[in-house]
This record gives sequence, C-alpha cells and structure tokens, in this order.
Amino acid sequence: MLTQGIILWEFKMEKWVQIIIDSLKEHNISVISYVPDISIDKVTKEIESDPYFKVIPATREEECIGIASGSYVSGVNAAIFMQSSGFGNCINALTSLNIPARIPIPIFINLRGEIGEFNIAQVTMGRSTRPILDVINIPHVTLDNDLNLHKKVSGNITLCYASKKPLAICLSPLLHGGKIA
Amino acid sequence: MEAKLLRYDLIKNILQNCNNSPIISNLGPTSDELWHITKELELLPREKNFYTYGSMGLCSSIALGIAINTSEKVISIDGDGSLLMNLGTLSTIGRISPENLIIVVCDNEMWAQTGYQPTATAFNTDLEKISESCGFKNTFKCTNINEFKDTFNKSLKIKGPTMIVAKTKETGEFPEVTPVEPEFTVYRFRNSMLNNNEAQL
Repeated sequence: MLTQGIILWEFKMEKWVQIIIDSLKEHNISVISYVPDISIDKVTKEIESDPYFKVIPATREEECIGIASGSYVSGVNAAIFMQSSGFGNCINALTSLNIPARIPIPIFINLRGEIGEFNIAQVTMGRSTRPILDVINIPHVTLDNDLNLHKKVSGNITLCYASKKPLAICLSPLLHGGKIA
Repeated sequence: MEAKLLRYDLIKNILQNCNNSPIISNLGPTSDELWHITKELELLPREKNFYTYGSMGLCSSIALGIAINTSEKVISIDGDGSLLMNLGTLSTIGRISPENLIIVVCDNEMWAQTGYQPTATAFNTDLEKISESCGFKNTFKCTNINEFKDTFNKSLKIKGPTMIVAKTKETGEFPEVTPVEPEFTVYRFRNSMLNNNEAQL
C-alpha cells in the first residue's frame, strides 16, 4: 500500500500545472512557444510530452511573440512561456505588433526578483515586469496561491481573446516554490 | 557581387507566380511595395498579404508561426537589416524544419530607409551560409531577375525550408505607406486562413 501511495504521489501533476494545461485546452490553445525557465519547467515539460500541443522552443522571447502571432493569424491559438528577464526582450514586439494589430496572446511569465531571489541581476527586470505591463496597457494577473486558480487562469485567457490584446499571467515563487540555487 | 536586382521586380515576380500563397512582408518599403504592386497587378484586395509595420526582425518568425499550421507554401519577404536583428530565428526554423516555408531576403547590404548605412552583409556575413548551417534544406543566392525567377519557381516545387538571398540594389525611391490598418490586415488575413481550413469564424 505504501509503495502504491508513493508511486501515485510521484506521478500526480501539481495542481497549478494541471490547471494551466486544462485552461490552455479549454481555449483551443495548441501552439506553445517558449524560452525555458527552471521554475515553470514543470508545465513546459508536461506540454512537451502531450501530443495535443505543437511546441516551438525559441532562441529569444521576442521570437516567441512572432511565432505565436503567426499562429494566431493562421487561425490557431497560441501561448508563450518565459521568465521575467526575457519579458525585457520582447517589449517592442508587443507594442509594435500585437497592440496595433490586435493579436491576443496569453503570456505566462515566471517572476524573478521575488522572495528568495539570490541573483542581483534578476531583481530589476523581475520587479519591473508588472509596472512595465501597466505602462504599455497590457492586463496582467499574478498567481501566488491555489485559491480560485482555475478562474484566474481560464477567466483571464477568456479576457485576453475578448480584448484582442496580449495578457500576462505572472507566476510567483509562492505558487511554484521558486528556483532552488 | 554586383547586384542588378530590384526589390520591385522581385516582389512582382513572387506575386505573379505564387498563386494564393500567404506572403508576409518586412516592415517599411517591402510592405509598401507589396501593396502597390498587388494594386498594379489588379490583385487587390489580396487577403493573403500580411503587411508588417513594426516588430523589426520578426517577419520570418511570423511566417514560421503560420507555416506550422498550413500545408500551403508560406513566403516571407524579409530584409538583411531585419534578419540580422533576429538571426536566432534561422536556428529555430532549421530545428522545426517546415517543408512549406520559403524565405526571400532582399539583401541590399544596408539599412536603406534610415540613411543607407551598410549592414554586416556588406562585409563578411553570408546569410545563405548561415541558413545552410542552421539546417535549411535549400539555399540560393541570386543577383539578377532571371536567376531569381528560376530559383523562385523551383522553390515552389521542392520541399523546404528554403532560403533565397537576393542581392538587391536601391533606386532611392520609396513608395507611399501601405494604406491598410494593421488591425484590418490581421482580421482579413486570419479570416482567409480560417475559411481555407474550413473552420467556422
């Protein structure tokens, strides 16, 4: 019995991971472009191994914006995963492509520079991500606990497509445990 | 290498030969000329024209995102200055290897619209060799219109990804800006792709 319990525990997807994957499927988001991040690797690994998704790892976050936008304009919804440092690499793409052309993309951003951050180089961009999103008028939500998680993810993806502009879903170490140095 | 190729002739040739393939054009004169030539050829409104207005460097990344969702040939008309800004996308295209993607780079070896400053392709950078090492199935270089016509027609028949580096020259004249709102471009292009995929709007 004990052995079975351990196996079950090992194979069970964490709740937040399952909710993100379910929400993507609810919205027919089958193309994912990403630049990896260790804290959200749990989601991107699941996505990579799920045949529902077509996955394009990119060299730079700005490229993800182009790929996901191309997918949307060809009729297939797409989402992006990145970390906050990479958000700094794609601001002009968002402001000169997605906003004027009204191309909605849900963007999952792992926030660095939060509690437990150990790398000074990650602090400024991590802590500036949400203020920059405000300045360029891109709505965002931060996931930092399990409460109403499905409503926050799926409901905000609905909002993203309704408003026809990108929307950021920021992931806090309080949700996923953060990076272990 | 002396370039005798005009971007105008190159775009005209693409439009005359690619049937109804999606065309994604780089920002600035490439998008503007695409619209004007489409008009001249009485092909307006060509719903499968995707004009870009900003997001410099992303023309071929957008084309990749389109190519993975269709079996049609997808044509990106990019520029050397723009592609140099996002060379990583050639690695990604080589990795994903979409058979239906054709990239045509109008390589004038300069940032023409900002004052004709030379780019790195005027020195040592060879976009054809870079594409080859990234895993493009076919790579070509053209310096005149006849060479381009043959190469482009061949590209439509073979499995890609294909890179055509067209060495172009500038005339000093730029057409008026494409009079199509970006929002309308996307709306129209996306609808045409959805209808094509027999999906419901």
